[in-house]
Amino acid sequence: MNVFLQLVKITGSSVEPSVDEKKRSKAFGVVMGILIMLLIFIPVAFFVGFMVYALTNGLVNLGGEDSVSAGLSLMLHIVALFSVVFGFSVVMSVFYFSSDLNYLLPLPISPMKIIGAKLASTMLSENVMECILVFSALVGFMIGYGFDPPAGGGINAVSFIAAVFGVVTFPVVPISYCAVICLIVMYFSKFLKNKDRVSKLTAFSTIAILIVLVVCLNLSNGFDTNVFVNQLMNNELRIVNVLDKIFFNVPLLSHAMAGSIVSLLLYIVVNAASVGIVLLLASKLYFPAVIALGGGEGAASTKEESGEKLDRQLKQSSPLMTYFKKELKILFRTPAYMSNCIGINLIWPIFIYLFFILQKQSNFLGDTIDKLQTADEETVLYATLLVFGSSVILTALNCLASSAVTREGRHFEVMKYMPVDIMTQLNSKALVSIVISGIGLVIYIVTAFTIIHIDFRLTIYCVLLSVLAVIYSTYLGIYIDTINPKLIWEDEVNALRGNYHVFYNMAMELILTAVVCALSIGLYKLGFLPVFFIQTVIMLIAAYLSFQFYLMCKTKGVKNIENIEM
Amino acid sequence: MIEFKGVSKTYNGKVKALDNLNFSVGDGELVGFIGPNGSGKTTTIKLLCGVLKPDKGSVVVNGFDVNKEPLQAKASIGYIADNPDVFLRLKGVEFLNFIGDVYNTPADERKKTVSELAERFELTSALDSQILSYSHGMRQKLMVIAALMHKPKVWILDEPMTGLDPKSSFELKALMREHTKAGNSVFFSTHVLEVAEKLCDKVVIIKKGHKLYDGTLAELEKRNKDKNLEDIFLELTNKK
Repeated sequence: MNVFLQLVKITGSSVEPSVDEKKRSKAFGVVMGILIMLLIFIPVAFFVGFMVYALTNGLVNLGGEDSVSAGLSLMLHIVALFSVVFGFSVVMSVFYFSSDLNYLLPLPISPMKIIGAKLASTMLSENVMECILVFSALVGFMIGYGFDPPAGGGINAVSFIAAVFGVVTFPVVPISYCAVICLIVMYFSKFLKNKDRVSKLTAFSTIAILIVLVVCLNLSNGFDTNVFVNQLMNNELRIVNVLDKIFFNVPLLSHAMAGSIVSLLLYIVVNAASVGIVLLLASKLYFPAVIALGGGEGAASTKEESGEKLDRQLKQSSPLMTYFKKELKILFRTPAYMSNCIGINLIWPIFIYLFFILQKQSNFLGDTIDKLQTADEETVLYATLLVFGSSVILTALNCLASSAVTREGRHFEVMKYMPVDIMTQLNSKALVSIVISGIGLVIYIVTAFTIIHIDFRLTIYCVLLSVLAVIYSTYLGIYIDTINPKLIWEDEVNALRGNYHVFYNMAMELILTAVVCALSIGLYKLGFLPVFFIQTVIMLIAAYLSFQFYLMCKTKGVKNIENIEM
Repeated sequence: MIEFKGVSKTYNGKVKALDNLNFSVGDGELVGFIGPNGSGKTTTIKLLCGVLKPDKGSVVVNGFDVNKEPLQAKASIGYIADNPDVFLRLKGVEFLNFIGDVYNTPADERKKTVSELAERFELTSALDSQILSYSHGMRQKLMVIAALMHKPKVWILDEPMTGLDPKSSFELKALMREHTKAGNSVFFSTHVLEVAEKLCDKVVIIKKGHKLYDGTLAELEKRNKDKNLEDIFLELTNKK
């Protein structure tokens, strides 16, 4: 096989399940794959497609032939932005921190080839969700624009060719951006000489970029659909104009979709040029930075320690507490876990702020708060369901539970030879997820409810409900991870990214949350039952689910672990 | 003591790693476990420690069946795996505390053992650093200290000499001897025949999951006059 293809296979192999894992999980994987498709991918794709369709249709009806693809551009910009924000950590990890470098660097392979292969494998790993999003946006545009719109034009053969190119090559420019920035930053940050410091810096920079982006959205006037479409048509939306200059591939693809063959050719040239620039930069900057990071783990201290200090440090705790402390230390000290499992809990206020500025025009939040303060029954019910749903989903999103066993990796056997029963070990992992997710949620709920002066009893109820929801979501996540943990991984980022259990867990949580919401709203609307009664039912359901999933971990989960042989 | 009775183990229902293997290690005995690569040494050790379950047969450690009373059996074992790269983000002292807690070792006892062994292995100054920053040999020495903290009746080591400098290797061999002198059992796998020759009371030689020899080295040499252990080993393991 060609050296380049071999390299793509090697550098991408760590995100693929091993043969044994594939065998273990065949039936389970098929069922969960269908659920994920139905509950996550299809709704998201449908939403994206519908948004682009609605915007394009609005622009066509307003007669703006020149700006008919503005809605598509906006959606593609959002996809590109997310690719860049989430692509940074992947590119950094694949380029600079993957363990395959120890084997690749001594081989007589040029930096250009290594980076080319790593770039290709990063794009392949990024491509699944992005393909779905871009595909649905393009379909939404094609339906919205049509073959024969009233103002002339319409999609043609070029649109179909552009659609194929677009779906396949869309990540090229965003990921190339990440690659170029990483190559330059890493070259000039050689002095850091420590992988952990660089990783932490990347994580903080990503959060900072996200904050700056949200603040720069400059939506202080709120969101009004009519104003928004008019701004789009007249090219007055500042953020889109700025993004057009940053992601110059997007307007080219959008125009190509509207039938411009020149734009299509330029789109292809731009993609090829992006890869060319990355490879050219790599040939100059890659090896010096990688080699500087070579001794990244530092050296053990040689300073003489006093006997008293050692005596102070050697203290006795219970097995549960010692496992709990061990898990916490590893999570906080491993950059990939720190950013993906701990740091992610800190970014939700940014999205709440985004929601706050988006709804300013309609004052939806203000009206809801007023209703909550006067204890309007329906609003209280929806607030209860929101607390329940968000507690469950946010716990699932930080993947502390659904990667609990996977994180053990190659030293999974330690779980087996320690004289501590498996359930105690699983409980310690559960405790970590409950404490980290729970503390974050309780702080958010108490802060928000105190600021908006919500009744003390409702606050206490929501805190208790949130804690129970976190417990049930945690034990469900851990149980799912015991079925088929991904124990062979090259680095911690791959332990999380190559782990489909986060999706499986999310799919299960979404089903259960949907059932609870449907049941509660049904009881309220059709059963005419008082909200207090329904709140009690929701609390009981959360308690029941927590207990049931705890029992599942204790029986089947423990069995699953005992049956795993490495 | 260890009793390994009629144990068979197959992976994925296809690869037979062990076939009706029997051996025992008595109290106060130091036994070397020798065999070519892929002969089933690590599988045997993992079965002893409860990491794997046998398809057939029983594994008894210190009077406890590893599969029926796993926690009691594991509590009486001190195990050093073939790879010391465990919990690299913990500091050395944190790892020792973790192991001490898991094996329920009283604080006073762990302080005594840790300070004595860390001194012997010249590891005291590194204990406050993350294991990630240790060399392979330092990690191996840390595992030795961790395994001995709870004074196990049975000490099992998988390729323990790998990566150790001569002084540490000497200390480890001395520790193994001291451990058996105190009436405990030591069972270790090795590729280094000289180590087995100088250290062991008894050796068990296996190939492809079958036992080829189980007895003292003196007996083996008596049977094969004018041959050194290396020649005997090669002759035994090259036989069909």
